[in-house]
Amino acid sequence: MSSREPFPDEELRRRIMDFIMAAGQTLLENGAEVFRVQQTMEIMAKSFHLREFHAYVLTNGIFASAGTAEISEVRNVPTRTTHLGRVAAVNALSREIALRDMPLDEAERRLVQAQQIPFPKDWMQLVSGVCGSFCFSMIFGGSLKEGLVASVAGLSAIWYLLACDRKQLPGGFKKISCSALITLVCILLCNLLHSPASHAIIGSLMILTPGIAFTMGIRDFVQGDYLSGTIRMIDALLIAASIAIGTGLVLSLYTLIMGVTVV
Amino acid sequence: MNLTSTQIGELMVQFILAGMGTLGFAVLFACPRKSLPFCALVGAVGWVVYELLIMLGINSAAAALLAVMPLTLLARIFAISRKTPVTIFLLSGIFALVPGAGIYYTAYYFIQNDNALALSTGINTFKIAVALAVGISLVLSIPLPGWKKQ
Repeated sequence: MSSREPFPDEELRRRIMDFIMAAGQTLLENGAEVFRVQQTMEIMAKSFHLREFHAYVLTNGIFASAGTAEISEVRNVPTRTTHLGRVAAVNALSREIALRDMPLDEAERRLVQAQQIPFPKDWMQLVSGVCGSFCFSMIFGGSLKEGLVASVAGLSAIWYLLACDRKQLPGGFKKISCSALITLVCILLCNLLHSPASHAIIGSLMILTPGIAFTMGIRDFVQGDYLSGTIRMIDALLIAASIAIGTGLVLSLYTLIMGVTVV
Repeated sequence: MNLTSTQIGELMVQFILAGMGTLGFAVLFACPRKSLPFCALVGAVGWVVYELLIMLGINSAAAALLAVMPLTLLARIFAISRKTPVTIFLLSGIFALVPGAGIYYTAYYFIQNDNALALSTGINTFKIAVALAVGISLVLSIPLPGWKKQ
């Protein structure tokens, strides 16, 4: 018997609810915007004939109930990573559920598959970090020397971030120390190569800049999710402040010790 | 609109560099492999429009506003044609335009105790941020065919 019955019994309703909550959590954890999470959950509920489904989604939590509050669930989503591949996979899954008569078992299997899409391999992240910081320091007006320095700084930054992730260090510390590391590497290498350091620093700092939090904040605002948008914007501000602290610390220490102002 | 050939050459170099840089960040965000070239294209187009406008002497906030529009539009077109959330293209594509340099310089002048410069850079950065926000929201709220299916 297919699990897409028009009137699912109590047991089935629970399973459907669990599935929908897990899908929503996967989306939210991996960097989808609030609006999409809510919409996807509602579409899934409709496809599986879960009646009276209502969800309230925030940047860091999901509240939902179904069947005139017969079932209600809350999910806390404190950690957020960015894995857009998983977002795309869950999105494709919900599209397929809506289009064809996919049984619940298969949908659950596909969701687990989507949750387990791995992050890019370490070497891949290192290479893309190098590529990203080199290109960005060049387009921001740096010379070739600065570009090369930026790629070294980018390499060390990604390596450091990967090490931090393994040790599960807190985010604020990670950002401050990583921006300090980038600045230090850039200043030292640029001194060695006799070139100005600022473009190299900016290019490799792009790895840390709160571009995601900022863009997602705007998207939340556009959709009318003002609370979530505010959360994201505060997130972006804090990240920017961390970067400024880390960079500023190294720059002022350098000025203090060497007695020269870095350009 | 009279660009010299050096400027056009410069723009082409910028196009390639911006595309490669965006590609790097798209990989870091673990975008699906098939959408990577599209992410790079979105980023490259946005940056080249920005750079072109700067060359034409438009100030940076207005340039950011005008550049983010084709960028977001392209992201939406790709999102519809490739049946992928628009977030994927938008997040990686916009990265070059996010005022990272502005944030850095603001902090830098602040630390150097150059308060006047810090303030003016800070305000300028804020202007760019607002311009980006307005541009994204404008284009995202235009109804497009296939809009409901997104």
